[in-house]
Amino acid sequence: MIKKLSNGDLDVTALEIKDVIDIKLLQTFQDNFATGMNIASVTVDKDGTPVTNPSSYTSFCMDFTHSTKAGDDRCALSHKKGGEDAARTLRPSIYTCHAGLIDFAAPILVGEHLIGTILGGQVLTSAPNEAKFRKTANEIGVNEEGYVDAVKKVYMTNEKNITAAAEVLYIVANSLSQAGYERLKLSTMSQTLSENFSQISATMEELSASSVNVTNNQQNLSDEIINVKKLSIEINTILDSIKSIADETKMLGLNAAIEAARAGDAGRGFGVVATEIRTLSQNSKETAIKIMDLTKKIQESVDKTIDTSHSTLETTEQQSAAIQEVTSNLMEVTTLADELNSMANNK
Amino acid sequence: MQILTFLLKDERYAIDITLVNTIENKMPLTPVPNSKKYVIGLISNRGSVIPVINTSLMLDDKDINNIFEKFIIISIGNEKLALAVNEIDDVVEIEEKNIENINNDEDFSIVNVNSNVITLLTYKQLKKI
Repeated sequence: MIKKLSNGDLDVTALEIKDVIDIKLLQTFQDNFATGMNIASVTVDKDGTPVTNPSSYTSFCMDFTHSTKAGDDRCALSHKKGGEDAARTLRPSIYTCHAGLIDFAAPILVGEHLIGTILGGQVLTSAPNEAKFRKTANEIGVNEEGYVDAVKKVYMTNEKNITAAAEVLYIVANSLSQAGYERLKLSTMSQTLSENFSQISATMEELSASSVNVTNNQQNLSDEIINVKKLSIEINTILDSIKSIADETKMLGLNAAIEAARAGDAGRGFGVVATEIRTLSQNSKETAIKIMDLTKKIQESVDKTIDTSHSTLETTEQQSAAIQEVTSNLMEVTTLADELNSMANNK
Repeated sequence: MQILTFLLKDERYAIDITLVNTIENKMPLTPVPNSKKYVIGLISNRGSVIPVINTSLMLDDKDINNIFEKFIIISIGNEKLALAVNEIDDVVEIEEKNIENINNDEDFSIVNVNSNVITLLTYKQLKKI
C-alpha cells in the first residue's frame, strides 16, 4: 500500500510489491525465464502470498507434492524457511526442499526493506535417491510409483547454473523494484509539489483580491478627504458673509450711537443699546475669524492627509501589481509541477 | 461728550459726535471739475448732494493714494460734508477737560483716550473747508 508519513515521505514499511513492480511485466519475465532455464518460479509478497502465477512448475510438485494437505503444508514450511534465510541475508539463498529438490529464494528489496521473494528451482543436481522419495510419498500420502516416476522427470542441472539463475532473478527483480520505488518517490514528490503550488496559487489569488480591495478603499478614502476639503472651503465662504454681516451690524450700531448722541439726554438709553449692538457685532466678527483659523488648520491637515493618502495609494497599487506578477509566475510554476506530476504518474 | 473715532491708514482720529449726521459705506463718486484738490467727488445721500473730502489730504497727509472704505457725513452750519476715511472705529465718551489745544490754537486739538493720544477734528477746523 502506498502510504505517506507525516513529513510527506513514502512509508517504506507499508510498500507492497505491486506498488513498485508492474506484476504483468514480472509475470512475462518470470514465464520466459522459467521456460528458457527450465527452472520453475513464482513470486510471493512479504506475507508469502503469491502475486504471480507459477511458471514451469513440475508435475512432481503440482500433481503430487502439493496434491495433499500434508505435502502442501510441508512445501509452505520449506518455502518459509528459504524465504527467511533470504530475508535475513538479503541475498539469494539456495536450499534443498523437504521433498529433496533444489530450490532457491531471492529477496526483492526496497533499500533494505523486504517487499517480496522470488521462489524457484524444482530441479535436481544429482540422480534422485528412490528410497527417500518413496518414504516421502508415504508420509504425505501420494502414490509411490507415480511420485518416483515424476521425480525422474525432474530437470537435472548443476549447482552453478542454479546459483546463476537465482542471481539473475535477484538482480532483475531488484532493479525493477528499485526503479519502481524511485518512480514512486518522484511521483509522490511531484504530487506534493503540485499540491503545494496550487495552495500557494490560491493564497496569492486571495491576497491579490484583498489588495485590490485595499486599493479601492484607499481610493474611497481619498475621495472622502477631498470632500472634507470642499466642505471646509464652503464653510469659509459662509464665514465671509457672516463677517460682512458683522461689519454691517457694526455700522448700524455706530449710526445708532450717533443718533442717540444727537438726541441728547433723551437718547441716553438708546445709546446703551447701540453700544450693545457694537459689542455683539465685534464678538460675531471675532468668532468668525476664529472659525476661519480653524478651517484653515483643517484644510492644512486635509492637504497633508491627501498627500499621505496619495503615497499610500501608490504603494498599494505597486503591491497589487507585484502580487499579480507573482501570481502569474506561480501559475507557470504550478503548470510545470502539474506536468511533472502527470509525467511521473504515467506508468 | 462723545466722540467718533476713525482710522486713516493706521492713524486714529476723532470727531465730535454732535457734528456727525450718519456714517455710510463707500459708494460711487461723481467727479467735480475745478474743485478744491481735497474734494474728490459728490455723493447723493438722503436727498442731499454732498461733497466728499479726501480726509488724508485735508490733514496734510502725504499719502494721496488712500483707498477709502467709509464716509462720515457731517454738518457744518448748513453745509453737509462727507469725510472719506479707511475705517470707523468706535464711539467713545470723554471728559471735555481732557481736550488740549496745541499751541493755543483751537484748530488742532488732541485728546487722551485710553492712554492713546489722538487728534480731534473740531468745528472750527472743519468750518474752514
